Amino acid sequence: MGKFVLKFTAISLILIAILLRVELIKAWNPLDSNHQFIHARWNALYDLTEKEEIDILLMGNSRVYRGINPKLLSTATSSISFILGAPGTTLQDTYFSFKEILKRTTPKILIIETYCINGFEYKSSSSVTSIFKSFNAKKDYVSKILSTPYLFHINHWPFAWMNSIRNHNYIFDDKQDLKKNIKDYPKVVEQITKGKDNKYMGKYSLYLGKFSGGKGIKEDILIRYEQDGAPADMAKRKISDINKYYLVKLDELCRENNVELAFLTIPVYYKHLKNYDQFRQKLEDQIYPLNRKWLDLQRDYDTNFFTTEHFDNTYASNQHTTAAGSYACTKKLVDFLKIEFTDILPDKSKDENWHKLFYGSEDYFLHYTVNKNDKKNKILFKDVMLNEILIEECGLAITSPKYVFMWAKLKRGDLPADFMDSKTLRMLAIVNLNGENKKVTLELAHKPYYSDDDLFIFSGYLKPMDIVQIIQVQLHNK
Amino acid sequence: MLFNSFEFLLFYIIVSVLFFIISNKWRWLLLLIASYIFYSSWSISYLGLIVISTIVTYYSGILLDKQNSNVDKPETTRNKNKHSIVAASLIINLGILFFFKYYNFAATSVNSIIPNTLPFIDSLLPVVGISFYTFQALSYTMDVYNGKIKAQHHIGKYALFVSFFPQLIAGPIEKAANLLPQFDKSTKFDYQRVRSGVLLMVWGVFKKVVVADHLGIFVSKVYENPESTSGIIPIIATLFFAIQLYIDFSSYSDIAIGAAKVFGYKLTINFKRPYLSTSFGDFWKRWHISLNAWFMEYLYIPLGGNRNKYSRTIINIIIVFLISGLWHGASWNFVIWGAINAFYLLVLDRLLFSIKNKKPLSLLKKMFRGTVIMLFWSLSLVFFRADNFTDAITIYGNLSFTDNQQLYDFGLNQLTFKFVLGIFFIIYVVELFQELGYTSDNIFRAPLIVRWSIYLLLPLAIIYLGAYGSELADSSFIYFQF
Repeated sequence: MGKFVLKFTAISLILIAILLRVELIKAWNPLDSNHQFIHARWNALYDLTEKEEIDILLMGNSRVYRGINPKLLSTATSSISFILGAPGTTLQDTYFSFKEILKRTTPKILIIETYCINGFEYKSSSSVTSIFKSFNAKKDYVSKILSTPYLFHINHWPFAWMNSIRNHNYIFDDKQDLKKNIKDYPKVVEQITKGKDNKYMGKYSLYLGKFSGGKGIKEDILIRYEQDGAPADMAKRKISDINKYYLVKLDELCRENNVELAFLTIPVYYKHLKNYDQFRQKLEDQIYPLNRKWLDLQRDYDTNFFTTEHFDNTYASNQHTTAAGSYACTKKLVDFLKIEFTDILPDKSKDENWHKLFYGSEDYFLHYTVNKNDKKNKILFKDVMLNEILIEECGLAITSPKYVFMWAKLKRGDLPADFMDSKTLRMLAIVNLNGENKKVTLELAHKPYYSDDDLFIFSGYLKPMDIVQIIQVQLHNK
Repeated sequence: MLFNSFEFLLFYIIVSVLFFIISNKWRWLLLLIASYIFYSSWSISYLGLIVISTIVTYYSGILLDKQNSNVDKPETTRNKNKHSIVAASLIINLGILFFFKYYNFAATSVNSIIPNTLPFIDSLLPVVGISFYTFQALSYTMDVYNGKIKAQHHIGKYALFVSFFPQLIAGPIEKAANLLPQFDKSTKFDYQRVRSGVLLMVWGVFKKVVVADHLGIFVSKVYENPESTSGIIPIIATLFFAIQLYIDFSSYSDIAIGAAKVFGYKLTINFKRPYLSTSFGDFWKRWHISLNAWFMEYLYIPLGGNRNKYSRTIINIIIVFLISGLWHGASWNFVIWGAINAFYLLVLDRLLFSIKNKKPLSLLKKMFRGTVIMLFWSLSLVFFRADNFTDAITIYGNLSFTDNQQLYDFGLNQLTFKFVLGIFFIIYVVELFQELGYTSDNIFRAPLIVRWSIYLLLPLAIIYLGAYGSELADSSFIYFQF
């Protein structure tokens, strides 16, 4: 027997060595953006929690990282928020991810987007592929080992632990990707682990988990809504027993760690679904017994606020928000948090490190001003009266080589919140383009999702230019 | 718990290690527990059925044995009692088999003639391996009845005979005379035997995941929508299915035989290179040997076999093939498939392969004849694979040699297509060597570099070249459904 055991062990060790070697090449790691972004999110989270505590953590599936802008949320609440979403994820995956996060940071508030409270069955093939991705991105090996039996069917263990096994079919199907991965190994690793050079992440080094894109619903889809009705029937949507179980576990985990648990429902376009009330009832049956706060932007759909430009141009059953939609949802969430969690939210507006973290992003300048010694971003003018409205500040930030971000903050005073809804701010300016001064008209749109009780915010992205002087400012009706 | 799963790999390693650690005395118990765990992995509720079948056939064996040895009673009385006992065993076992496998089929068939006669039971799910273990248990009852074997008095070992996990789900269907005595033997760890058993298992998994499952992708795509394919595509799919079915089922048998061999138990060979058969008669001696032997012994011979007039022999053969067809599935398609193969045996064999000179054929002739047989066999398999009669007729109607569809639009791209055919060619060459008398011992006598290359390349090919489905869909052995 000894001879057999010896040879069997030797062959097994050689096989394991080959498997590990192949795995470490990372040639079998997919280059799709979903995969990259999960790695990028986890890496950003590991980096951030080295130095900072996360205050608001948002978790859920793709709807949460498409639906919320964490920088705007952070700057509007003077806190640090982070989105750790994974496409098509389940609550059991969320639970184990949160457990791992708790080893690094204890957020004040955990917000769960309700679309991950879904009907995926325990360890089923349909849900497991998305869990593989987030599992693959985690670095705490002890947590990973302990959670493996809970997350995956035993037959999926090798797939969970090795991309080279899970994606072995690249040999037949994706030879180009495979060759590229092998050839550009360092670049691929960088892309996968850092999400580098990706347009969706933005150009700032601070990555807080967002992923936004899309340009709003077009005429063709609007016609389909009218002709074919809603594509998503929420009456058919279920909540699986395993998700119910992990919802309770997540609540218990939050209570043990003194974390406030809250729920958020990111909306889809109101014509996109039917029978939401029936699914809402199923959610209520699970969420209400937990006695937690819940912001349901679908039930409380604001048709004036959430317009066609806020949603993806799709008739498929799932619909995400656009960048504009994410700002709108974030604004609603900020208002919700300020009402429901006033005592819990930290105020980091006096914290120098916090300012260093966010300084330079457009979201930052909407709530704070440009530093005096900043040579890159600048204030164009301050405290100018326009039709008895004070323009508190107008500034310009260099956000990317392709665009500059311009904003204006107007004092609201006693004016109603919707006063500026149909207005734009037009400015006649002298700008320096290619060394030549020219007169141009600049136009900034009112952004209700930036505005608050104190200020009306106008903003817009412009081509890179050096604004020499603002000659005239006027409010213009659209 | 599929043989080609990680779950089975761990399960088997644990069972094997424990098997060689514990004393011979308790090995039956270990294997019985392992077998019940193995079977329960599909559904715990299935376990009740196998336990019922075990208890019924066990006690019928004991009672039959008593009748055989009770010389005080007149023979007529004893025979009458034996008839009653064996009838009760058959009714209970076949009753369970009929109810779980054929009731809905019967209800649908009856209702199509006289509407609303029998209710259709939606909740009646197919029971994995029921046809296999029921036939195995019944063969025991009938062998005791016929006095061929003595009844097994150790209920644990008998339960193990019915449920022995390597062959529980898809055979080989073992005779009690072969398997039961082996459980009493003391087996020691034998390096050569264990090595040979493990290699056979790995070879089986390799064939299954690298060839059969890849071919299955193409076959499924075509047969799922038969009306949307025509020309050469359904011809290729049908030929592929013939290869897939053979590779799939023979690989299962390889794993089963290899797994039992490691423990020191010898199972019946189930396949002997059927695509090198010299006639249809020869084919049925090489294909699913244990099932055909069962039908031969317990159905064909009791019906009279070939002992009566030739017309009666023809009827007997047709009955066996029709019932064999029905054994494979609760559908008229399988009955038709059986009828076609009866026709092949009774008519085509005489027309094409009449052998006057009984000298063994050369390998080349075997290859030629085997290929012809495989082509005819493939045609019959349309009924075997199609979901219903209409689909089968659609496939037949669409068979032609026109090339009006893209070959690589059916789940296998060009590379995979060529690769799988290449590997099948290698398997075919291996079978040619086996036909010439080469065995795995030839590998073990090969130079170290060759042996170790095989030991490493087969598992690596299983891992990196197997078809596991891009959505990680479960795959299962085709014969499990029977």
